[in-house]
Amino acid sequence: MLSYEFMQRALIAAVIVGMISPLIGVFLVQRRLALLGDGMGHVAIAGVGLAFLTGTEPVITALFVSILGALILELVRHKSRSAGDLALALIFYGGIAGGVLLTSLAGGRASTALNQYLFGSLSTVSTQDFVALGAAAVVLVLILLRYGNQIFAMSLDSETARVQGIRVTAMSVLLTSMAAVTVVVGMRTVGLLLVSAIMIVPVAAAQQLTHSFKTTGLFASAIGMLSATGGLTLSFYVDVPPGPTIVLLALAIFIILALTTNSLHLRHRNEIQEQAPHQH
Amino acid sequence: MNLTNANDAPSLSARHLCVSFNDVSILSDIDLDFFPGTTIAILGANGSGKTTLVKAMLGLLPMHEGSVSVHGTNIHDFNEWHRIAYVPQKLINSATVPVSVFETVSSALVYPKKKISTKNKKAAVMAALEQVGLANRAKDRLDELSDGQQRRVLLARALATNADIYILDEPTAGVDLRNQDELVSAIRGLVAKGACVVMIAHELGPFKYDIDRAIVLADGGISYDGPVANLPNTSESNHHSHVRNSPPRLLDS
Repeated sequence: MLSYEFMQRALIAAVIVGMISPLIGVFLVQRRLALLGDGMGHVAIAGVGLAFLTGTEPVITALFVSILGALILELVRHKSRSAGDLALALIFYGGIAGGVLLTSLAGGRASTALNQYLFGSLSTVSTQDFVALGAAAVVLVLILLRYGNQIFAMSLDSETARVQGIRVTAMSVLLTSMAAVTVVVGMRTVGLLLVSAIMIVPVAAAQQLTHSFKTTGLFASAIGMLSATGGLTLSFYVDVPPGPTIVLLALAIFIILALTTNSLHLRHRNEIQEQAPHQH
Repeated sequence: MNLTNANDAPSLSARHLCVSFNDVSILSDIDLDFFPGTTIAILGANGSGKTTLVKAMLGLLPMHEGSVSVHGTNIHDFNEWHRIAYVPQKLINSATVPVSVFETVSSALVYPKKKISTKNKKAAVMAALEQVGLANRAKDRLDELSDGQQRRVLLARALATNADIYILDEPTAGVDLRNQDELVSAIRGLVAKGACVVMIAHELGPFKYDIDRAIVLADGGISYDGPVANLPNTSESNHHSHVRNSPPRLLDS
């Protein structure tokens, strides 16, 4: 498999996506915004449609459109939390409807190409994309190293963070924009409809075992890389789209960890009860 | 006792403070000065605006009218946030992703304009956890602790800072009696170092001998401001003995 150049590129892209997505996702889960990545994915679909119609580069156009969507969403969320929830739903629908409509207006082979963006594809990672993905990942990691502490404090409690002088609105916009960038980083391999799953599912899996935010993020990142490379390899040999394979693999890891830790907890509790018999 | 010491500049002041939600007035025309080295209790029935008052004074809620200043600087221009520690009743998102006790306390020491080295941060966090008797739980998940223990972690969040204004929203609610004493002595230590401690309380409870000044809110304004000993009578015939001898429910309807 590694003798194919496109597979080498796809695998490295998968490692990048698998590593970076849960590192952003862990903050989204903390802020109860697990579905925000989905919203960004849907906006990016409109970006891809727009790129087909205008003949521009899909990655770049999707990046601009989804960051714009992120800013609008934060603006609405800033005004009202309930309006923010509705705005997220409207962005879901507007994004996918707009994307499909723009793509069909573009005609030609655009509709077939859109499918590759929706569910990921092994052969679509060009060298140019590859450089863009790498650069985006480096930028995301640098932002996390610089602002991670502030974003964590803001995600834990926005009010105490504000009293510490943290610019909560700016950090919130930064996090949403990072989610938008992550979606675009993942759209080639995992696909836009499922990219947010790779941000969230590894976090859900990791937190079955962890006791701190930092270890949850790092462990989720490891699970993300494992699912992404494993899923991509499977999809190469079985000839299915990589997106669903990667996500189902991550879900399988979640289920295994959830069942194992729950049964361990149960056994631990039973042992404690046996050691401390009721006193009558 | 140091109610309005003319020698000290106030740590925190409100002038003509008015707060309203959807055109309904919650607080109107509040004038307050909180001085260093004092412990102030804000009392009042549920819904009397205690939390609203402290949140407005911290800049967390928009003021309809009036102004707030911190160490003499208007709160909109104030930027020495490491000098204020705020303890809410509960952190908003403490039970979504696992967060350790250590991380919770350490998150209080994140300031955009003041970098604290990892080593100093760790020392401050562990010293604060030691003070509230939870150093042995530093690596545990916050949401696995009891409500009272979580409250102590939140107080440790404030103790870890080097602030000189502490705003505490019901710091001892749910904390068992034995540990309340530790919290009282920790807060006494802050005041002795010259800090201004403002706490919202349903009852004076363990703090009854430490409060220098009680402020009672009612009907959107201040109905009493003075020493605990002179607190106005409520449902009890002899309020003074009520405060001194049986701490429970004070001025709470």
